[in-house]
Amino acid sequence: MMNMFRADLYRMLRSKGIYAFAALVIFAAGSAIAFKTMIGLINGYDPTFVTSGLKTDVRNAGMNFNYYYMMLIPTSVLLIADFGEKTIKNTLSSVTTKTKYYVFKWLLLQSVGIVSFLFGNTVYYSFNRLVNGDEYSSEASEFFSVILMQIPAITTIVSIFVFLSFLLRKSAVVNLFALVVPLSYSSLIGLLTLFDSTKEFAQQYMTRLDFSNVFQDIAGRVDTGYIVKIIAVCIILTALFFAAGLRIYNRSEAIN
Amino acid sequence: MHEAILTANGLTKKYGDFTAINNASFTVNKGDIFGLIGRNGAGKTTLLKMITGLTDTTGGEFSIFSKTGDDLRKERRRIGCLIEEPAFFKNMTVEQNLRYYCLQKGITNLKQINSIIDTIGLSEGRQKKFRQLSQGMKQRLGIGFALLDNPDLVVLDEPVNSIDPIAVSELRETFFKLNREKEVTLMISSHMLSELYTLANRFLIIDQGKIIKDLTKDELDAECSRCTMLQTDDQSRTVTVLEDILGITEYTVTDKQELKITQADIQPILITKALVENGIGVSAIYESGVTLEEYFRQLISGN
Repeated sequence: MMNMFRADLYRMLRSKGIYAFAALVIFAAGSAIAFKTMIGLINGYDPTFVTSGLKTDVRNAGMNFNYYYMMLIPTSVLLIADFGEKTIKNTLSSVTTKTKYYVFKWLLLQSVGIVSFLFGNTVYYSFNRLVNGDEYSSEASEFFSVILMQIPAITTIVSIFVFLSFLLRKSAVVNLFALVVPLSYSSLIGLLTLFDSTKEFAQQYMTRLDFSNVFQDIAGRVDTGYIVKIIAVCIILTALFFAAGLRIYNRSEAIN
Repeated sequence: MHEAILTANGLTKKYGDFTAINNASFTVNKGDIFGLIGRNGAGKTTLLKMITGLTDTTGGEFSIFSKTGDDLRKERRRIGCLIEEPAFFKNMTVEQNLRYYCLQKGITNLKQINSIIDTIGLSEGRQKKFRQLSQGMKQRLGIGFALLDNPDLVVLDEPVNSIDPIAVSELRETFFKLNREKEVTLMISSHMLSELYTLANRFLIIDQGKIIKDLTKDELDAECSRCTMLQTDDQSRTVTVLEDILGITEYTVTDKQELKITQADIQPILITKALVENGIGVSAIYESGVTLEEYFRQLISGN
């Protein structure tokens, strides 16, 4: 597996996609620092996200759902490209087995996801403190405790993307699916809030199930018990999608 | 006694109700250049995919280097292969692609990249990105990939497709060299019998997923031998003319009292001329036997 890791690292450093990914991470952090506010993409505003008493950096950590969209890039470069360019057959015929290949790609993308998440937030925190000072910066322990609690959400996102990649095997289809599902869900929430009979259900329950709100809930520290539940659910989902992807791949043809 | 490198026993592959490979059994011996022949869609690629671990078998079993199951997975490093069209990263150069697979296979001696690039004749295109290569160059890179890490068994699926005749000839020499000097066993599929004939010493003919013939080159030669049949009014004098004037020594007399000349490069017009000049009446002279293509066609139509 170390040989495969070295090979993919070699390839990663020669891929424009990864530099685009790094640029996006830095751009998001830089924009938030420059405008002294929280910047990011979320699927509709979470009414439960309490920002009072939070400094800008922690509020900005609530926008880390950005990584959901950004993680599509390394998934595409490091995994789906193997199917798209059919190079997977070279690997499976002489280096490893389907199961080991799946586990390796899962671990690789989890590593890339976690490292880039920590890197992006560390860059953001350091430069925000340097540029904007104490008024906009929390204590490092406070900021990074939020970031660490958000890591299970990142691993869930990666696990879902790995699952989708092995299931769908085409970059365009995976991207479409990954983009359309959250947008459709938030559109549905928006639609249901228009009607009195469904408004409460949409705002109280459906909004909380929206993945983008997980990041906000953790940053806003809605309720300790609730956060523990979120983290537990994330860990369970990570494991479930890992197992489901592996099962699907082992039962299907190795290459198209 | 030949050492078996690959033994397949009752290999079967089904996709739903469709049987792609039906109960295939054969053996590839060490040092063989094993030709797998069949029409497009006959099942050649499916068979090679099973052997190289790219698709699971529905039935039967096979061993490579006498290993099966989990043990075989470790031995896969000793197999180099090119299945279907060559696949590499489009935005990486020839050299980078080979380096990527060296790293993946744990090959520490990266100098072999240079020698492989020379072997496959891609020295001038080494810095070209894969997407910039011609189809023939891509095919050669695919063969280069199969040669990484000095494999003991090389499995090539239609390796000379899209390659120009000069390059085909160079690659043929490369295959012979690998086989003779490094004792690499080659398993090569093709729908071009004539191309495989110049390379292989064993042939497996496959059609509609079934093996219809497994034969050596000598056996194939015997099946496809070309000869000139000759009927004259004086057999003993004919023999004298053939031997003394034309220098033909490879002939037999058939049950029908015809002369069957098996010597190569015979020109019937010269025989006729010599016989007539010596006052021998020629009642019939004709070519007999089947060509490789005819033999292949007969086998397929009989299946």
